Amino acid sequence: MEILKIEGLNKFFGKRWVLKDVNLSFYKGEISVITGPNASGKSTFLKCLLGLVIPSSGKIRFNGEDIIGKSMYRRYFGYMPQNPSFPLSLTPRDIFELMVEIYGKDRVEEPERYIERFSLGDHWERPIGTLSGGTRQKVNAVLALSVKAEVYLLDEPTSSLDPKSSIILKEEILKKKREGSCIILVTHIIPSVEYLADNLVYFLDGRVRFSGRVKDLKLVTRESNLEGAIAKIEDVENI
Amino acid sequence: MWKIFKYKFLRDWRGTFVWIYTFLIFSLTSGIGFFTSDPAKTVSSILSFLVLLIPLILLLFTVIDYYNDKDFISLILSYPIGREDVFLGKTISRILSLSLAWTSGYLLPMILKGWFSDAVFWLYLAGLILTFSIVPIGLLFGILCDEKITGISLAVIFWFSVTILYDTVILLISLNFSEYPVEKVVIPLIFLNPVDLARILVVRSLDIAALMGYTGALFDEIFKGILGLFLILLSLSIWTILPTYLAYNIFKKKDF
Repeated sequence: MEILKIEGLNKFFGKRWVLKDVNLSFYKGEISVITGPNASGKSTFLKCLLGLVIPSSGKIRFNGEDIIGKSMYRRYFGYMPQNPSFPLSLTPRDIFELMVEIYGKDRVEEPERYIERFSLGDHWERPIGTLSGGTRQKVNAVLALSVKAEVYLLDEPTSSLDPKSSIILKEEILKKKREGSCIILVTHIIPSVEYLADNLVYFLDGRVRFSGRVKDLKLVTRESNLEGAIAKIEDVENI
Repeated sequence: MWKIFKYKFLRDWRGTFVWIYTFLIFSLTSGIGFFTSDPAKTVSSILSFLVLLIPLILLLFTVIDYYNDKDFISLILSYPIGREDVFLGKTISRILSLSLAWTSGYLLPMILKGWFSDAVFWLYLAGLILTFSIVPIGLLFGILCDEKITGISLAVIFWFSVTILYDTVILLISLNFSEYPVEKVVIPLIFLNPVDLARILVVRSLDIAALMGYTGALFDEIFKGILGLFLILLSLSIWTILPTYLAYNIFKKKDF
């Protein structure tokens, strides 16, 4: 079932065109991986979905309703930024409490299970400034996963995570998928998410160069692994 | 808005800057008050500090804090909260934190000394209103410039313009055109400078206009009465509302 529909989305920064006529659909219970070269428009696209970047034109529909310029739809969105810059004097608990205040108690679940899974028990009450980069990324994951969201937007979620935490995060992502959430995941590290991906969106110079099922891409490019198939996208005409 | 306000206000007081700022004002007021028994002299001395250093401290703190907080602001904006709530919560909490710092740093020693005069009150009000004007100006520079160095430079240039450069220009005009009634040109310029308006708010209560000859008489005529006070407060209100409005409009459309 379609949950997010993007229609003719454009974004200019001054005279520079960052997103050009993006048309995409995302579905409940599916994981879509967004990838592409650096500066291809992936992060800008994600930020447009969150209202952090205001599109120059086009529509973003969530459950059929245009959400550009609105904020309350984000009660149904969980976001894990790539490099979160949390205030160093606050503890993860402080940030979680602020998040609960903003989302409302009904939209956030108790974080204890995630804290335990990511072995954050000792760190949950310590100021962020005393935590390592990897631990901060775990905090980032716990905060995003605690939201009872219909759409999860994850920007390079496994970066800075140790292998064990990376596996736990992927298990949690799959669990959210099984529960019916739509997962949109931006990453460069394709092998690490290959088994998660149902759909793939490939951005090139602000345009969607490919959008479709992973198995279809492998078929068209005659590649058995996703990374190899993605590498061939730019070479295949009329993909 | 109040969620962000509460969070930001508590965070300000959990940080070090607001405490340092409070301690600085407290030490200065207590220190000057220690050497004199005349509240008017104390007010005059603190006034020099108020018009020169406080705008710089407030501008730099507001601009630097905005840049340090920028990534976290973008995280908060990814939550279900409107941009107007984030902007207003942040601006009001910053203004109130610094106003509270000024109140405790300046007013507390004055109360302890038992000094309750007009001049003491007007200096308190001037410091408060200056905080209300300078914080939104600092925020405006931060929101306007993506680069930290540009925002800080703009803040320093603004501070230099409304303090040192402004005084130098006024002095040069007064000296070079002393044979002409330059006051009629100079006085309207005052309304373009929030720092000078704050200074005049205090000076009008200190009875030093008598030492300024014709200028003093004109100064008395314009600023001493209710109309003068109204004009000063109105101009300072505009200096608060205008930068807040501009900063809000840019923030509302800004890409994070």
